[in-house]
Amino acid sequence: MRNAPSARHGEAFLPNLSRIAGRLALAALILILCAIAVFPFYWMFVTSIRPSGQLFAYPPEMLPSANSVFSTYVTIFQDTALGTWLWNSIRVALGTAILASFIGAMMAYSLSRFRFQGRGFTEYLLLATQMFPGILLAMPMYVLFSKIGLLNSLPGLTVAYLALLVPVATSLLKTFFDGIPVALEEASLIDGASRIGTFFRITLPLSLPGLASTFLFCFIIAWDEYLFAQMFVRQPGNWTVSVGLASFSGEYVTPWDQVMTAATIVTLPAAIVFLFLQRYLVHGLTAGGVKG
Amino acid sequence: MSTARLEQLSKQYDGHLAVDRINLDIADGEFVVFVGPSGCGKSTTLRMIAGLERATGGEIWIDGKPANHVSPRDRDIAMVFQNYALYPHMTVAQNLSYALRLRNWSRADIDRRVTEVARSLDLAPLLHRKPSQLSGGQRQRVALGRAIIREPKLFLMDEPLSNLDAKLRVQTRAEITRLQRSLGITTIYVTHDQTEAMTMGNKIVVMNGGRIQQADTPQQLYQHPANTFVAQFIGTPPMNLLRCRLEPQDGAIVARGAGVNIPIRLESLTVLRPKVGDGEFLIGFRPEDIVMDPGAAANGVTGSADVIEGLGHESLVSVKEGENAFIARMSPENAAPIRLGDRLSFSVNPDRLRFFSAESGEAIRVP
Repeated sequence: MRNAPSARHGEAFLPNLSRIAGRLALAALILILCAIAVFPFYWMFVTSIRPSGQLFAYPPEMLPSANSVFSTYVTIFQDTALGTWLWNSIRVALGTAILASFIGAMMAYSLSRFRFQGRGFTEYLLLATQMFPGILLAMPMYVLFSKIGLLNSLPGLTVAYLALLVPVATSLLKTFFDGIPVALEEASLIDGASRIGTFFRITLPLSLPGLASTFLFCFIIAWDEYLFAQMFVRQPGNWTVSVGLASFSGEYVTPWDQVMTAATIVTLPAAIVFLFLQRYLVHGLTAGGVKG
Repeated sequence: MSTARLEQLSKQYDGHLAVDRINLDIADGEFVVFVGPSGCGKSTTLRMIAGLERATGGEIWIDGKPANHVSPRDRDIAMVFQNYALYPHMTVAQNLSYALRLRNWSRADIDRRVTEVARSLDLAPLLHRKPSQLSGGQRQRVALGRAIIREPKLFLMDEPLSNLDAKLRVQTRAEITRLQRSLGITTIYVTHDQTEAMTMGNKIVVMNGGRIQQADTPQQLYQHPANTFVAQFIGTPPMNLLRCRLEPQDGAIVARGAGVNIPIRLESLTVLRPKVGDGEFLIGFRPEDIVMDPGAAANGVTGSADVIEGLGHESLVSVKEGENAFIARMSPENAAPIRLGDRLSFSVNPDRLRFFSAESGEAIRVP
């Protein structure tokens, strides 16, 4: 009888220990995964500030050397057209993301809320567009674009990206709209709002997380895209960064410090957009609106 | 002052008739309750009145004007939804004022009205909370507040209490009744719960299979159901219905069936006889309209005790005899000596006997 309390105490103590060990293991795993994800970026940055003489030092140095050089970050804008390419990419990626999200939202809303003939077929078509590899689409689009004069232009490239991304954006957003209870819109209609007023006052604010992730997705795809950009735009002045970056690797030499510098710079806008949108990427915005 | 009128109103979904040519007049200030089992068309009817569903046939009149083609926003109605449908990204105050803001009320007027409504519903301390920070009962009050804030022509309520727990439901039921009586706004309320219907409405519309079975006051519905569906849907336990035929006995005519031997009054016979002839019909009485009476074996209903349920303040005794079964409501003291299988006899209050056709289930009204 007397040891009963202490025995219970011992039992409680053991699970505590194993819980702490579990937590530690989990933390270690997270750290390792983060390290794997972050290392390429770290290596990219470290290489970009390494003096060109030490680029191929063996064994490789993990830490930035004492005589790091940041001058490449200035000269790269003077020696290459990186500034122009960045500006081109920003315009194309922003244009694509804004238009794809907007058009996608309109389409997704009608697919989610209205019953009309051919609705199921349209949804199927949207999915079907995703089944073709990009290169298969690129060739007929190239012929079409050359006939209607959209080659070599940034608006043309944006149109090409929209063709790829509007169906994706529509499917993504439809899932979000489907998750917003119809009763909320009906309540708004009865409270005196029009259909379009309801869309802007109720549906849109509630689908902000969906819109933000769709926007981000489209932005990053358009920002990173290489195949179409390389095929459709020939003049270096209209290149996007992905094509510009690739042009660094020459037949005989590849200036790795410049490539890494440009790569670091190119990563920044996408990261900024992500940081800006991050606060909308939250779940549970519709919590508490309806029961059950 | 607002009235509503449904004329031959129908709704068809992919070949299935959800609402079948219903007619109804709703007077100004009336509290009308639509009640029926799930899928009976009551919610669809309400949604058609709200303008959320398009009628496929018939007419809706609100305040004497045809409303079929009027959009929900122009019908000047307010609706409380089963799942509350509060705007989750708005605070309680914003939820309440939404309709007023859409109507371009001045800021001062909105503030004054929101304060008024919040006070009447005990919401004042919650005005700055989001719906996710409220309890079920609080959300329900916000939903009510959003409906009453602009004094609409019609209140529509679609099972507003079904998500509340039993205690809160009884409280809110009284609250809604009180609100409706004090505001005097014509209200249409949908529920599948007959207790809710009986306690709240001035007029109850019992629906089944897309059709109105009976539209009447709670009292009439209980005492004079129009058919066996209403007889069994209204009242817990439902009205007892026993199969029997008219047969002569000692120079009089009795209704006789398994466990049934009830003399029929002459004036009732004049109506009943031509309708049923020698065929079967149903005799109906409420569980409280029979009294245990050992001498009634040849003159009442009899059978063996099958189930005894004690509810504390009363007991329900199920009695079976052949194809017929009925329930008797009695005091716990009277039920105490009864054992399962005991032979029991009851006399029936002749004023409370109801008759129904065995084929159609329609009531046969007798004097």
